[in-house]
Formats: sequence, C-alpha cells, structure tokens
Amino acid sequence: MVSPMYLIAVLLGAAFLHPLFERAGRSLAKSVVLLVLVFIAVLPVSWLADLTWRGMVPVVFQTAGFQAPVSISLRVGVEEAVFLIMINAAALFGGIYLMLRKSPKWEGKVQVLFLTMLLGVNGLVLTRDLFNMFVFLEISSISLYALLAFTRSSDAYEAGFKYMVAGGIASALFLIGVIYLYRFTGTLNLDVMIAAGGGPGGKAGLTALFLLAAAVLIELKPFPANGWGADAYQAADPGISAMLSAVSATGIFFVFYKITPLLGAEILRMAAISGGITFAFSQLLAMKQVSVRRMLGYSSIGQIGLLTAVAALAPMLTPAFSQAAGGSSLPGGLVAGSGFLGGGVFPLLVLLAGNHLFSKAGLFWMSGITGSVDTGGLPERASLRRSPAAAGLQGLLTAALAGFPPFPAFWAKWLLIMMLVSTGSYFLSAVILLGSLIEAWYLFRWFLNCVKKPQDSGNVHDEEIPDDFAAMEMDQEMSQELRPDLKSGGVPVSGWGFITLFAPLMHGLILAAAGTVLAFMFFAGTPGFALLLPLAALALFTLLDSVRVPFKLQVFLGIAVTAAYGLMLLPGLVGIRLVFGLIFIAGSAVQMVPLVNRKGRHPGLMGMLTALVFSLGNLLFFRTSLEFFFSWELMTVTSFFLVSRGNKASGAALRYLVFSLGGAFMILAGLALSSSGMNGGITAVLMGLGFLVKMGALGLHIWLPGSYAETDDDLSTFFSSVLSKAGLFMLFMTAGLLAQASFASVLGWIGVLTAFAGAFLALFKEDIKYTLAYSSMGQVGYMLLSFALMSQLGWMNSLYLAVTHLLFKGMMFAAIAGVIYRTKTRMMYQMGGLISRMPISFFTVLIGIIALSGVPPLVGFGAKWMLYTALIEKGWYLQAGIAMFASGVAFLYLFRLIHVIFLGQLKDEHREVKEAPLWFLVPQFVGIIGIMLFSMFPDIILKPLQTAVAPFFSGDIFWEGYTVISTLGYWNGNVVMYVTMGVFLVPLAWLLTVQRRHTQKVGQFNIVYAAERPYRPETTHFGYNFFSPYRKALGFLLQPAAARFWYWVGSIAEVAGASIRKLYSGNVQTYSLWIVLYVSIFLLLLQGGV
Amino acid sequence: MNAILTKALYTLISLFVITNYGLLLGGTMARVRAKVQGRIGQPVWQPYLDILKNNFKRTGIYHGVMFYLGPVFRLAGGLGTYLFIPAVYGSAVFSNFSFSGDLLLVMYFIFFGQLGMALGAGQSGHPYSPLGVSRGLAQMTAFEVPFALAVIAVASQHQTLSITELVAAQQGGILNWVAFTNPLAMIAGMISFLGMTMGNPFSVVIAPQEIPIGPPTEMQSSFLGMLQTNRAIFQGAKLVLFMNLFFGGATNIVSMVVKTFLIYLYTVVVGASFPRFRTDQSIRFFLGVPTLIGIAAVVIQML
Amino acid sequence: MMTQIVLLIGFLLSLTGLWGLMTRRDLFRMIISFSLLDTGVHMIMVGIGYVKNGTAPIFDEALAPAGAVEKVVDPIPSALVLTAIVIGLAVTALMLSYAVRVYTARKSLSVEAVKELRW
Repeated sequence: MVSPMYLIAVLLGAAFLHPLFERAGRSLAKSVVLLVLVFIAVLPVSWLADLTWRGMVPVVFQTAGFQAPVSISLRVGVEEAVFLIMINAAALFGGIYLMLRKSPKWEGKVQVLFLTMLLGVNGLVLTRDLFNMFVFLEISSISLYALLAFTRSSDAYEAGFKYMVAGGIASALFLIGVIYLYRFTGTLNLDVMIAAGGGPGGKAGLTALFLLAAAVLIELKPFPANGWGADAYQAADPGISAMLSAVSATGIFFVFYKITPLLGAEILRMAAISGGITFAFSQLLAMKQVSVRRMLGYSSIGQIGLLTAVAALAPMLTPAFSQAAGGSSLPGGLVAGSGFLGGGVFPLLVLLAGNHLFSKAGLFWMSGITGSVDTGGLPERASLRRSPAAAGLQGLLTAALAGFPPFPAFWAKWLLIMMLVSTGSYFLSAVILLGSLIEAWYLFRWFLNCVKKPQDSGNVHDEEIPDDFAAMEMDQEMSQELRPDLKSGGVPVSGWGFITLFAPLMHGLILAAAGTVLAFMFFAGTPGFALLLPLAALALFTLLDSVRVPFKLQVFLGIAVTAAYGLMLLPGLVGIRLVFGLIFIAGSAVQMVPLVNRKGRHPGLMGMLTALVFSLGNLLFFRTSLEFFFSWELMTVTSFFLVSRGNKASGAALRYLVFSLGGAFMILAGLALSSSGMNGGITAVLMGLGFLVKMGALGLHIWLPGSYAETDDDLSTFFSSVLSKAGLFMLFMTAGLLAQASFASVLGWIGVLTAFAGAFLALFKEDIKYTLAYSSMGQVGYMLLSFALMSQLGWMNSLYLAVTHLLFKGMMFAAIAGVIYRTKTRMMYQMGGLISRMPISFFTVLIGIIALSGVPPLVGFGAKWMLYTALIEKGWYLQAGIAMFASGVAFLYLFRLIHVIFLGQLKDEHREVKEAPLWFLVPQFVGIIGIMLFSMFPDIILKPLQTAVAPFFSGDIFWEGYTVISTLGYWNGNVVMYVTMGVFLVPLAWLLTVQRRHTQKVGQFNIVYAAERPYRPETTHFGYNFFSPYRKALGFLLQPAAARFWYWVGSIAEVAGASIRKLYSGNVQTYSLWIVLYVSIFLLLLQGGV
Repeated sequence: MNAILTKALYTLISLFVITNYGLLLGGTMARVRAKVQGRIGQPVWQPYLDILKNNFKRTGIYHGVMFYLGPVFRLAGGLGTYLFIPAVYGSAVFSNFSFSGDLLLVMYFIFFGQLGMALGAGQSGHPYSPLGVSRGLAQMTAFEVPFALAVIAVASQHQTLSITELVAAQQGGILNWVAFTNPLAMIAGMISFLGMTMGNPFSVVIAPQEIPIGPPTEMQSSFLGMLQTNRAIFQGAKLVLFMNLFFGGATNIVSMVVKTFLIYLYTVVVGASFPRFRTDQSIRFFLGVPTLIGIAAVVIQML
Repeated sequence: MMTQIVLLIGFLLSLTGLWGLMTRRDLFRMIISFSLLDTGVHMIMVGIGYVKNGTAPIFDEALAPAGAVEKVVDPIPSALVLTAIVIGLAVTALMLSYAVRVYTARKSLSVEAVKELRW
C-alpha cells in the first residue's frame, strides 16, 4: 500500500515550492497544482482497491521512526480511504472550477492556501492521534480563514474574523479536553484509548471527553452556535464556500465519526439530539434566506447536523441493520459487518456525506457560474432557461440534494428511515422527514426562480383574468428603452460558456453514476433491471439533445420506445395491473403524438416524459416496497420537471413538488412502520394520505389546479388523464390495508366531496385549463368513491372510470390544446363560435362532454349506472345524493365549456383560424373510436374488468346477452344505443324532408335581437361569468379554505424561521455567547445525567 | 324479424298515443290557466294548429349544423325518455323499451335532449339563448337534488331500480303507493317536479311572458314545430315517470290518463298561485327545505 | 502546590480572556482577550503535564536513561504547548490583519462595525 505520507509530503511540498513554480510560469504552477490534486484524489482510490480487492488490512503509518504525538501517525483503512476519495475528488473539481473561471483569478497565493487547507483536511481524516488532530485542524482552519478573505471584500474579512473567534474558542476547548484526556489515560492515541475500553471513567473523565466532543461539535456548527458559519458561507467566494462545505466540514465530520467510540452513550445521545435540532432548525432558517449562499450554507449546516446525529446514533442503529438482514428492505451487502464498506451504519454515512458533498459543492459552483446571488432568481438576461445544460445541471444537483432517486441520498433516506423506525425513533424520523421536505421546498424554489420565464410571477395558482385593455403598452416600451440590457437579446451577457460548467458537471455525473450503481446494488436480482429503464431513457434523450437531434424525431422515438416498452412488459400483467398498464403506457403513447407539432428545440422534454411514463409503468411491476418507492419518487421528480417548463408554472410546480414529496414521505413512513411489523391503522392512514395527495383529494388538492393548468398545453393531458391515476392504482394495490370499514367509509366521503368540489370549482373558471383541471379532480373523486365501496361493482366502476376518463379527458385536452394553439388564448369568453372554424375539435369535445357527463348512450352512463347501483347496494344513500348533485354540476361546466368556446359569436380575430393541426387530431380520433366502441358494446370493457376484480369480489352481477344485471337494476348499452340512434334519425329525416327547399343559412348577426342591432361579437357573446345565479346562490362555498389552511401551515414554518434567525444578530459577541451557552447547557444536561 | 316488426308497431302506437295525449293535455291546461286568469283561452286543439303552422312555413333560417340538429336532439331526447319508461304496467304495447335500462337510464337520458337543444340554440349566436340555458341548467341541478334523494329513497325502499318492479311493488291498493308508504320521498319528488315542469314559481328560465329567452329564442318554422311536438311528448314522459314512481303506475290507459292529468293539474295550480323566483332564489329554495325532506326520506331508509 | 497555582492562574486567565472576548467592544481589545484565553489554556496544559519535583527530560548526568520515566516531567504536554503557542500566534496575527482590513473598509474598530452579515 502506498504510504499516506506521500499525500502529506506532496501537498506540503507543492505548497512550499509553489512560488518557485510560479516564477517559472503561471501555467506551470497551475499545472503542478492540478497534478497534485489529481494525485491526492487517485491515491485513496488505490488504497481502497488494496483494502477491498487485494484483501490488505488497515495499516497505521508512523513518521521518522517516532511514535505520535512527536511524530505523525496516519491510519489507512476503508473508512479513511472512502472519505478521502470523496473529499479529494471535490477538491480536484474545486480546483478546476477556480481555474476555469475568468474572474476573480485563481492567484498563486490562493493556490498555496488551497493546498495547505487540503493538507489539513487530509491529515484530519488520516490521523489517529488527538494532538496531530489538533494540529491538522488548525492548519486547515487557518488556511480557510485566509481563503475566506480572498475576495478582499470587507464582508469576507468580517466573516473571517468571526470564524476565527469561534474557531479560537473551539480550539481552547479542544486543547483542554485533550490534555485532560492525556492526563487520565496517559496516551493521545485513539486506538489505544478505544482498546482500553473507551474514554476514562468518572465525572472528570466524562468532562474531559465532553470538552473534546464539544470542540468538535462546535467546529461542525451546531444550532444555535453557528451564526459565524453561515456568515462565512455567505461572504466567501462560491468556490471557497463549496470547499468549506464539501471538504472542510466533511473532514471535521470524519473527526467526529472517529472519536464516537470514545464518547460513551451519554455524550453521543446529546450529540444526536444536537444534530437533529441543528438539522431541523437550519432548514427553517434556510427557508427565509435571500442570499443564495447563506441559504446553501444553512442547508450544509443542517446536513452536517444530520450526519452528526446518524453517526452518534450508530450504536443504536447497528443492531437494527443486523436485524433487518432478514427483511426485504435491506440488500445483503448492507448487513452490519459484511459486504459493502463493512456494512452497518458506515455505508449510510458515506451515502449521506457523499451525496451532500458533491451536490452542495456543485450548487455553490452553479451559484457562482450563473451569478445567482438572490434566491429570488436571476435577471432575465442571465436566466438559466437560456442554457439548457446549466438548467439541467442545476436541476440534477438540486434533485440529488433533495434526495430524489436514483441519487445516493435517496437510498440513504430510505435506509435511515427504515432503521430509525425499526428502532422506534419515530420522533426523530418525523423531524428528519419534515426537515427534508422544507429543504426540498427552498432548494427547488431557488431552482424554479432561476429558470422561470420573465412573465412568471412565481405565484400563479389560479386563473388570471386579463384586463379589458392591454395593460399599459406605452410603459412597457419605455421601460425597454430605459433598460438597454434587455435589448441584447438571446445571448447571455454574463458570458459563461459550457466549459465553466465542467466542475459541477463532473459532480453531477459522479452523483448519477453512484446512484445508478446503488440502484443496481439494491435491486440485485431484479430480472432485467427494468426499474432503471426510466433513467436509461433520460440518459438516451439527453444524449440526443446534446447532439441536437430534431425534436420531432425525438417524439417519434419516444412513442416508439414507449410502445416497445409496452409490448415487452404489458403481456406479463394480469388483472388490475394490466388495466392500469394500458392506461399508463398505451394512453401515454397516444398522447405523445400532439408533441410532434412543436417547433424548435425542447431539450429535456422527451427525456423527462419517457422517463415519467416508464416510471409509471414500473409502478406496475413492483414487488418490494423499495421498488415501489423508487418508481414513485422517480415519477414525482420527472413530472415536476415537466410542470416547471410551463410559462407561468413555477409557483404551481413548487406546490406540486412540496405536496408530492410530503405525500411520498408519508408513504415512506407508512412503509417503514409496516416493515417494522406495525400493521395498525396508522400505517394505513399514512399511506392512504400519501396516495390521496397524488390524487388531489379535497383538502390536499391545492397543488392540482395550478400544476395541471400551467403545464404546457400539450403536456397537461398526461397529468390529468394518466398521472392522476397513479394514486388510484396504489390504492388498489394496498386495498388490503385500507379495507377496514371505517377507512373505507372515510375514503368514500373524501371521494364524493372531492367529486363535488372539483365540479363546483370548475364551474366558475374562465380559464379553460383550470376548468379541465378541476374537472379531473372531480372525476378522480368519483374513482375514489367507487374504490371505497369495496364491492364488485364499485371496483369495476373505479377501473371503468379510470379507462374511460383517459379516453375522454385525453381527447378533450388534445382538442383544447389545439384550440389554444390556434386562438392563442386560454380564456373561454375570448373564444366563441369556433364550431365553424374547428368542426372536428368541436365534435371531439361534444363526444367528450356527453361521455363525461354520463348522458346515455355514451360510455359515461355506464359509470353512473354502476356507481349509483353500487352506492345504493352498499346503503350509502347520502353519498349517492351528493354524487348526483356533483354530476349535475359537472353537466353545467361542461355545457359552458363547449358553448362558450365553440358556439355563440365568432370573434373577428378568429375568422381565419384553421382546424387544429393533424397531430392534435390523432389522439382525438383514437378517443372517439374508443368511446364509440365501448358505448356500443359495453361488454368488451366490462367483462375484462369483471375478470380483473374477480380475485377480490364476485357474484353480484351477471350478464344476459348485452344486458348487465345487478341486484337492483339492469342496463343494455347496446339497445340503448340503437334506440337513441332510432329516435335521433327519425326526426332528422323528418326535418330534412320538411325543410329541404326553403331554409337558408344566415349570418352571424342575423338574430332577433329585441329591435336592437348587435354591436360587436364581444358584446353579443354570452360567456363571462356564465353561471352568475349559481355564484349568487352558492358562492359562499367557494371559500378557499384548503388553500388558506396550507398557507397557514407554510406561514408557521416561515414565521418560525424568521423568528429563529433573530438569534443571529451578526454580532460576533452574540455568536460567542451562543457558543458558551451551547457548551454550558450541553455540560449541564450531561452532568444531570440525561 | 317478426318480433322486431311487432315491437316497431307497438312503439309507433305508444308514441302516437302519448303525442296526442300530450298535445291535448297541453291545450287543456292552457285553458285551465286562462280560466284562472279570467280569460276564455285558446281552443284545446290549438297546439295541433301551432305545430302544423310551423311545419308549413314558407321560409326558415338556420345558423349552422348544430343549430339544425338542436331540435332533433331535443325531440330524440323526449322520445327516448318516453321509450325507456314503461307507460302502462303489464301492457306489451306500452312497455316500450324499458327492458334496456332502469330508472337511472331514464334520469340521465333526460339530459340528452336538453344538452343537444342547448347546443343548437347556442349556435344561433343569440345571447338570450345561452342566458336561458344558463338559468335553466342551474335550476335543474338544484331540483335534481331532492329528486335524486327521492329516487334513492324509493329505490332503497323497494330494493330495485327497475321501474317495472317499482310499479309492481305498488300494486294491490292505494295504500301500497309510494305516496303513502314513503310520503317524504313523494313530497321531495313532487316539489322538484315543479322545477322540472318550469312553471311558476320556477318559470324565469324561459320567461314566457317577456322577451323570450332560452333555447327557443331563435327557433322558427319547422324547428319550432319540432320543439312543440317534443314538449308534448316530454311532458307526457315526465308525468308517466312520476306516476310510476310515486302513485302506483297505471294498469290501463284510463288510469294513466287520470293520474297524469291530476299530477299536471297540481303543477298548474301551484303555478297559478305563486309568483316567480329569481334563479338564485330557486336554487336556494330547492337546496333548502325540499333537500332536507329528501335527506329525511333517505335517512329513514338507512335506519 | 505550584501546579495548582499554575492551573488556577490558567483558568483565571482563560475565563478573563473569554469574558473580554465577549464584552469588549473594540476589535483590538477582543484580540488581546483572545490572546489571554490562549495563554490561559497553555498554562493549564503546562500545569497538568507537570510532575512534582520532576526534572527536564534531557538525558545528562542528573538523569540516567534507566528509571527516567519516574523522574522527568512528561515532555509531551510541553511539546503540545509549544505547538499550540505557534498556532495561537498565527491565528492572532491573522486576526490582527483582518481587524486592520475591517478598519480600512469601515473606518471603525467597534464590534458593531462587523455585523453586516447576519440572520
């Protein structure tokens, strides 16, 4: 094994000789530094190879023939090697980042400091001697103090000064602790101390250990003794902040990890509590930050707090890892004492630390590259939208930090929660999940603010009715002139090119690669690794994007791979899974067609979309809860990125993300509880709630309208007609849990109220997409209600609705997307009379609304028939009454929809509008054919559904030819169709006969208008506020109670963050006071024997 | 084949009867209203004259395909609604197509004609048409609530949704009628029937006395004729439906005529006695006491 | 006895330093307090490392290699203190230079001048 001494020697030598190199040439010096960085990154890799594949044992190296502390003693084991690989890789890319940057330049002095800091951190990780540790700590700290100030701003000096004061106090504590330990144990060597049975006993010994621990903890910036840390993150150059977070903090964390065996249960428990508190409060604090780097700094502090807590809990968690070996939640390699990195808690720490280190450093760099200082976003000229690569990278890093699959933090989160719950740490699990939720909230808020379009206020959750007259065109022109920067057009002014993205790109790749490897590890034995197909699709389309394959071609490819995926995997499915498989895969493939109509390039779109469809498809195949959760989260994150592409979607996308993630965390908690053997009601409630969030059930729906409506018009349909059924599918899959009567009845009430609320809210929307969004919500409510019936007819109806809703909502969204595409407006009252211009779209919508409203003879009636029959059979009479009311209200908004858009007065500006492009019509044709077929022959869909639910329920209904007979009534869709055709054709024939000769078509204004003359189409078209009597009578129901409630919840978090941050007065003496108080309280609690 | 021809013949007879009955009933009731208001009123056969006149108009205009199809939809809705209801219990001629669906089918088929008519009227481009439709639909959703509750109560009482079986269950004496076995459901249903017939106090929807609003605004010539034909059939269908639901159905034509006449008379009496609600008032009215009565009827069934 | 006095003074000095660090408003006074804190810590270290009546750990005529362990003062704490002094010096120097920089930028040496970064 190569001696770690070389590491120290090379770093030290390079630092000392650097001025000489610099004299020979700047580039030479830089190259040497780079070479050194590469060397120190590669060396630990060779160690790891030695230690794992070549089977060597960990070695302790001594210098110069002396024993530490007089010499330096360095240990090379798996732990050290892994952490050094991560730290030095980040350092390497950190150096590259600083070098590639144009300004400020990476000066020689800074390079030296960079090297000495690395020297300190490497030493910290490697040494086993407490005093060596002190020396290395000080080396890295002093270098850091100096590095902080390298921007030479007064803020940087201020931050450096504060940092030094805090560091000084920590050093003093450390020294006193070390000397006492030496006094009690006669050694400074960690191994000797640990071998002697941990730290010294007695109160004095405990105090000595406490001092040591307190010093290390303070260096890790615990709440509230961490204001100086946040200041440093904020003031430093982003390149340095990245190193502070990734290199220094990780190194010091490793020190804490090293001394944990010494500390004893009491101190560890306190450290764990401190870590947990730090994690939770840092997230609250970060939420309110305006400065990007301070926000990221708090996030770092929080993550390190989490690491501290987990490391401190190791003694408690390790047995859990061993016990979980039998369960399916843990791959074999992670069992304590075996396999991957020795198993147990350590791999978990590596995942958490590594994920944080790479993603956080990457984000700091991104903030530097894009010049993002304010969390409120970027000026339009520098918007990330202009560089898809940068936007994609920032999205990737943010997703990694937030713990989405496949990134390491996802697996870490899974393991951690599983283990914590299995040891009964419910409170800590809840804190961690809540903290992670808040973290995702502010990180993605920043991301969205960076990519949003200029017209996006970031707060669009409802329709925006435009003013009657275009607002102040004059002013806009003037402001354009006053701001010459806006005129520069498409070229980013800040002038960062692709090459500057190298460092964060490498981190992104490392994270992605690590995540993929982990996925392979966790899913070892899964046939075909189909679960990774979404990622493969994403990678494939990203590649196509980068070589600029035309978008239309990509769409065709997307449809092809989706079809191939379906052909490959669907035949393996039966029953309910097959039904949803057809919805997810076939439905998506058809609805991709309108995308062909898009012009230009849309990087990332097809990748995300196919990944979304595949992860939906993968939901169908899950066998273990981890497989399910993986696909579920993947679906969430890909769909989030799709929503965020909308013109004004940033606010809605954020809500979507936070609610989805909140739901996912509830599901995770439920899964953890059930795998720990708790099968009570709480599990069902948690998981049920998680699925209901995804379905947009009443009260949890406030994310829904915005994200359905503000998504691009041709993408909305995926959310409404496909994605909304993922929650339903999971309800079916977990029905065993929910089947208890009380749950079923609660679900039923939620369902029927959702159905009513959806219809009622849709009634008053002028914006067509919001109407359709709320309509989807209502339809999903019916599905939920039917599901909750837990009977044969109920389940059949739920599935029937899911299928038919896909057909008619899909084709209606396609038709409406075509209309919006042609008319360039989403406001219904601004349309009108389009039947003459877009007759095919009109026909589609007509069929759609007849089907949706449940009017015979089309498919919708089948759903109504089954629903009411099942409800009455079950004895849910009141629910049936509300459901009928809801379906009446639905009829209202549907009529309004078709009337206001297609009938009435055609507007002057739409006289030349053409029928929607063919690509929009394709899914409409498919939908119409499907609906007609199912209407004419209901048995071809009902009988398979009957078979699908047969394993669960049977017997209540039977068939007589085309007539389906229930205990209460009967329905023959076939005859109804014929009778309807008959009664329709006869009068038509009559009319055609009577009116053959003398009827003439007249113009638009040729109406009996009460002796007046119509003025303009706008004044003659009745469309705005169409159901005003309804508003007058029942408008009080429109109170946005749910939105208000959630706003209130959010406010609590924000207010908490705002009040806590008052602790950080900025005064270094206050900071010192917090440190002293932290230490004192820690000590008091310890002495009190907590 | 023979069976189909027989069925077609029966259907024609049934339709012929209900059309003429509906027209005569309309004419009669118009005279009743006139008497109340102290006028002589129109001849009983006036509806026939109106329809004939409209069908033989020399000129006619239309605004587009949907406008043309609107009245067709409307008449189809009326015909269909009637054809899915068994008009006379036990009669092969008047059983119509009730074998193809139960009460739920009838309830939802009512929407068919209304939707088509509203769409046709919408294409006329006349703002008063959708205005009336807006009011009418809004009111309809409101009166559907007590009606739905009544239907649910009746269905759960007899554990069937089949109209024929409902009628069968009410045979054997007046006390077996739902009106007596489940009076709350009957009251809720009959109040919503007032809304369904769109007479006073729920007539603002078509505002018959003032400037016409609602679907017929732009309709003329044979379009209007078709609507008038439908009005008769549809009215008949609704009367038969309510008779079947609450008043024991009919075992022969005579009892059907008597019962439906009385039911219709009831709406005329109420209409002549009360002033008119605004739309929002009628919505609140239907969702108030009638709905509570309906809920009570349902809750009784649940106990 | 001597050890106890050294320890006592060490603790007193450290606490004084800490107190000064937290109460003085002038940056330079804070730095001086910081030095006091450092010195106090060094004294504590020396005090703990001292062995009563011990001699310097240098092999000469007074100290034979055999049995030296009992007679000498443990050299390790002294070595630690030496290192710590050096490090303390570096930190103090850096603090002073930052204080100067802050003064040039903000024309004040008050601690109130260094609270731009907060919350």
